[in-house]
Amino acid sequence: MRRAAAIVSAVLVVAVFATAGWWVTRELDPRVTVSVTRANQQSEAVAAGRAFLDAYTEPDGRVVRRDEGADVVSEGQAYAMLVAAAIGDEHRFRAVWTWTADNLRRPDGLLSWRWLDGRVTDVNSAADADLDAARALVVAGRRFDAPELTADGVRLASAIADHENAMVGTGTSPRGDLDPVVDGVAGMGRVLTAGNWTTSGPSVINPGYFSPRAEQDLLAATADLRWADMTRTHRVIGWQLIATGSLPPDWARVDAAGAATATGPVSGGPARFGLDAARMPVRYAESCDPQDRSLAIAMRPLLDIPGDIPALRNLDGTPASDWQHPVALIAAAATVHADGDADGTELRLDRAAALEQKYPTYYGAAWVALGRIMLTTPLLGQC
Amino acid sequence: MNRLARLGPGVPVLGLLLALTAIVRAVNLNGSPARIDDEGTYVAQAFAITQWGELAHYTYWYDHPPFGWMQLALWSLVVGPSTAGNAVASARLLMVAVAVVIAALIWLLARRVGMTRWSSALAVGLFALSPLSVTLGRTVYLDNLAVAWVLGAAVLLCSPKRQLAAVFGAATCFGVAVLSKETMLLFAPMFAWLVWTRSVPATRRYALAVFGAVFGVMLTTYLLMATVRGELVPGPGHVSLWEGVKFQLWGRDAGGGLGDAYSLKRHTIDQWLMFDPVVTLLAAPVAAAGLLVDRLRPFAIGLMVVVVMVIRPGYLPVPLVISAIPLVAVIGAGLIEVAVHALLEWGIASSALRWLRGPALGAAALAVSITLALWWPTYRGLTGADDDAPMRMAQEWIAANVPRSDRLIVDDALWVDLVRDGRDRRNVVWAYKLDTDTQVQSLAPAGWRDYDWVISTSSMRANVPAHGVLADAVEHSRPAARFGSGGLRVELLRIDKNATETRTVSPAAPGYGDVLAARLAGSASPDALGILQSPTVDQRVVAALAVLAAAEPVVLEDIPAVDGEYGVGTPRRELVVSVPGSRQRALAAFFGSQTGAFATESVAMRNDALIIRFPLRTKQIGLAVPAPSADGGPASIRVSDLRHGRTGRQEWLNLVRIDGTAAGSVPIVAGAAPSSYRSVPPGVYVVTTNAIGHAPTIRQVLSVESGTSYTLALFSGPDGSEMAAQLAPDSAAAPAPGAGTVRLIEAADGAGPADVWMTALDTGTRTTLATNVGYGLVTGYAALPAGIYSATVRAKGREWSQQIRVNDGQATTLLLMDGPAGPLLHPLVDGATEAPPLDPSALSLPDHADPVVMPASASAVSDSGGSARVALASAFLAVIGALAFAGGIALRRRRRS
Repeated sequence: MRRAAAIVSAVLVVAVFATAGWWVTRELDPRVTVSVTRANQQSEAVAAGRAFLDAYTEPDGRVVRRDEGADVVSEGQAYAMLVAAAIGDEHRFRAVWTWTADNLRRPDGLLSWRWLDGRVTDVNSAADADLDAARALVVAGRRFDAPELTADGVRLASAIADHENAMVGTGTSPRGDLDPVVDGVAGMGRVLTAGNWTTSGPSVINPGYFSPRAEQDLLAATADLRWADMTRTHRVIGWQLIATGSLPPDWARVDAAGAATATGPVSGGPARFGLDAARMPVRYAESCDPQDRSLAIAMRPLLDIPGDIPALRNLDGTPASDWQHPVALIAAAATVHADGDADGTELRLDRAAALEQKYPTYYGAAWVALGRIMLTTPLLGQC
Repeated sequence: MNRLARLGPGVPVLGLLLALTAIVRAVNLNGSPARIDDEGTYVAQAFAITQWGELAHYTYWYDHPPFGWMQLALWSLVVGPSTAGNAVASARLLMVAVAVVIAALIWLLARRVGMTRWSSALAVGLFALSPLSVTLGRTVYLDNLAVAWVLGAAVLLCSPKRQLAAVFGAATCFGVAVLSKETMLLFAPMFAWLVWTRSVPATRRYALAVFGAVFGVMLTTYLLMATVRGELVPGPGHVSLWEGVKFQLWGRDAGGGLGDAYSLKRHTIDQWLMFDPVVTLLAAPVAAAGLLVDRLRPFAIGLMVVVVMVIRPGYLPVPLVISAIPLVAVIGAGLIEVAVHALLEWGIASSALRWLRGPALGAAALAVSITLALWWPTYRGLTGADDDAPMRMAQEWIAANVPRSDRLIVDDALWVDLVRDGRDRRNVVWAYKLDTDTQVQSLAPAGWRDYDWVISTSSMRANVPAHGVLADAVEHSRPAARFGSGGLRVELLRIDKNATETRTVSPAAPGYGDVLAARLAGSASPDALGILQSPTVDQRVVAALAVLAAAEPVVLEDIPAVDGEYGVGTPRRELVVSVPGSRQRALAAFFGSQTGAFATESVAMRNDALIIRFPLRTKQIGLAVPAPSADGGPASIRVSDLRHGRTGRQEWLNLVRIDGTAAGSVPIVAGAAPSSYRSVPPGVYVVTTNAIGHAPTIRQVLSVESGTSYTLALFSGPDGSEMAAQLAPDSAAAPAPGAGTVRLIEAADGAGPADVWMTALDTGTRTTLATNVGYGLVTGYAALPAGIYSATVRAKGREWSQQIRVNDGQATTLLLMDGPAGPLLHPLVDGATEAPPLDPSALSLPDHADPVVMPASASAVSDSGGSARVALASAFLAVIGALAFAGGIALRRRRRS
């Protein structure tokens, strides 16, 4: 009996000390291994995400653009949902989605893009917000094991596919019209329009709305091949817009054949690479498809320049502003990331975060978080 | 009693430990760490011995004594140079065997200095399992070989019989160790101490003298070798042992101090700490503590010398720590034994043994768990990572895509494999030698321009000098392919030699793929259409696809990127089309028979698909710049066949619009009379030619502008190729009133270089049209007053003249051809007024043809699975051997007892 007790004690002693030694060593080991680097990147991304949510999300789930008239836009709601889903903040995710669904959801399932002072001030939709929200719902459904969120995401995805895109391509025109064709989308294509308000005639598009990862997620969730068509078409249009050595514009128009032309904003102004288009390299750099990443790499010579990176550029890459914005740095980081330079990506993301800390904005905070999440972590899903 | 049998019950334990030593090294032997430059250098030097009887693959400059790689050479003669997949991997197998020998020697040494079996086993276990030991023990370092000899010497000196023969053997072993790696000389004090303390007191001086003499004789062989080669001391035009020693002792970069976080020395130590902080951090305290224990003192002195070498200012080689690991293991285990023994004695004496058990057990568990926790991250990489994959893939890519005639700047890790692959050793140049070896520099008088590729690896990137041939080569290169990422990436950098003859392959400009994709829509995979519309497709793929689409109903399946070429700017140069089975062989033959710019690298048939790959290197074919405007009236074109030795076989020249529609054909008529002008819409065309009933050959891309007349002159190719076509616009600027314009097309090959001039018969004014022109030249137009001229051709010292009329306002081409009595000028009136359209297209692919099918890719490199199998087999054999050894001894003991 005594002997048995001694053996049990010995085993206990060994187990306790061995476990303690292992745990303490693993915690205190200062060596920076690949897994440690990944963990650090993840914790930085989570911290940035939390900072954005803390700064701009109300307890009721509204994301308030405090530096832009304190309004609420569907884009901000979608960003908050993406960030919350990525960092695993289910409570905040549900709050934001509930508020969004209660206050912005339109009868057709899309989201009205603006809300102020207790009411929707513009019922039209913005496709980027809808797309990001749908992706966030699908990711959240998976992450939080919540089929009802996935179902909401699928419904929103269907609404986007039904109401926020246009058929384009040479296949939509008689053969004789194509001679000679210089630009266009060969065969039948489908493009995500800027919103529900521009699906006929030359459609208004915002290349910064194209998101191959979101489209891939929604294709997987819905099995709706229209998402594959959109991804392919967006890539062709993306190349049209940048192939001649220019930057993608914030806004463009696409004709029935799929030929895209850079334009200024609908409200007027010159065609520029600004805070809208800066999202395009980020979204393409996070893609799992090397074809998409090639597009991001192609923008590197113009976007990743030494010295200060201006917030606004002319399409030939020349500065159009003397001020900076974190999202421009994140765009540069994205091109570097697509090119396989992990250290360079970190450096630029850190610069973006420092700039955001110095001059905090809603949009900057959102993209500092999303940039880290999309480019350096698998928080929104593995490739 | 047999000596081995006297090892007693420890034999099975030793067998297991030896097996463990082999297994942890052999598993994933070639996956981690990735091959490095140093390994390649030693293997290449061994290769030079076996292949050419030379001491090194470049000038041997006494950087290290050569006995280390002589052992590697012997090994390669036994197992072959690439048994495990590549040359370095084969040498790594030897490292596994050497590690097993070292482990056995550690056991013997520990036992001979009086350590118990369990502490001896602990020493062997520490050596066997330390990730630092495993990582560096897998790597082909001379230190691994040298350490085995050092331990052999120590074991002999610790022989219980204390015979003079042991001293003799030990001195020999130590001499071999130093001749394998000169840093082993650091252990001289240790051996002096050992000889002194392990000899019988009466013969100490004698033993020391014998040891010194034998060791001295061993070293003298090295001096003798240098003397015989006339390289003992510096002199003009040769290297010397003295300079080699001077470089190793004082010539290397100091490497910075320990306190400098960015110094090379600190980086080296951080690397050791990353692999194994336990052994690295324990080395100094273990050495200090070992000095206090009599039987461990000689080894502690040896270890302390190494520690001092690490701490002192100066260069610190990465593998220096290899020599310290066995000593840390032996001394560390010995100290633990001493501590446990002391504790036991104290416990027994003070009757506290009972109460000591718990804390002792806890402390042991804590120490083991801390050690394992610190080792775990390294083990994950050692057992699971395939860090060598980028090197392997790069090697395969080189074999498939880099012509053997190209000159490569390489990391030495690839040197032997590339040379064994059939490349001239002068075309595979170790990067380090570019700026340091005058012999290498003499082979490349134009510096970086004499090279075609840089194979950039981690160690090369870390050692690119600020200036010199390597720096220039890297600066003037751009990646053609990239494998891996981060520090492990291997980049295949193609050197752009100059701007005029660029070897940079541009993709087809935007627009060409668009029009072709629009034409193919409906009979192509949508994804492939998307790719075709991106500016990532090789010009040859677009042109060839246009021809194919014009000739056959094929389905474009894909335009894939070749592995490694994604994201580095190399255009997609592979084409996958779906072809009915009955047409596959004919189409394969069509592509396989292409020559010149459209020659294929490989054509493969897979199920219903045909996979066509063009070679990496090419010249621009005319699709790199955007198409000119296709608006306006038609252009006109005539064809003049000026090739040598044309037979009477009827041929057609076919024009295919870049959108994949057949525009029409022109019959090719040999001789001075060109075809009539034919009207063609402005645009971009792919030109093919074919004889009736034969497969067409894709020739080139033409761009014709609205309202312009052209002469398409077909010459024989200068490089033996069948045809080189030149499209010359015929519409020169309108001459002044009363004048005409004249140009020359040189198609007379027999006359040799010629001068051609026109002399006005009325004024005697002489106008030179061309000087020293050869076959294949088309000059620009010269304006001449209208009238009659004497046109003179001078070639080979002779002159021929004939009268030529220059008409007012007219452009004339003088076609210089070989005539029966010398060169003859044929005047042609240029410019079309009205031109009939092209004939209906004669482009068709043959119904049947003998296929010319090449493999989809050639690989000179065995797959990693093969090397892994060899490694596992080696480990298995080592295990079996160790167990058999242990079993045999145990059996023998049992019989004797």
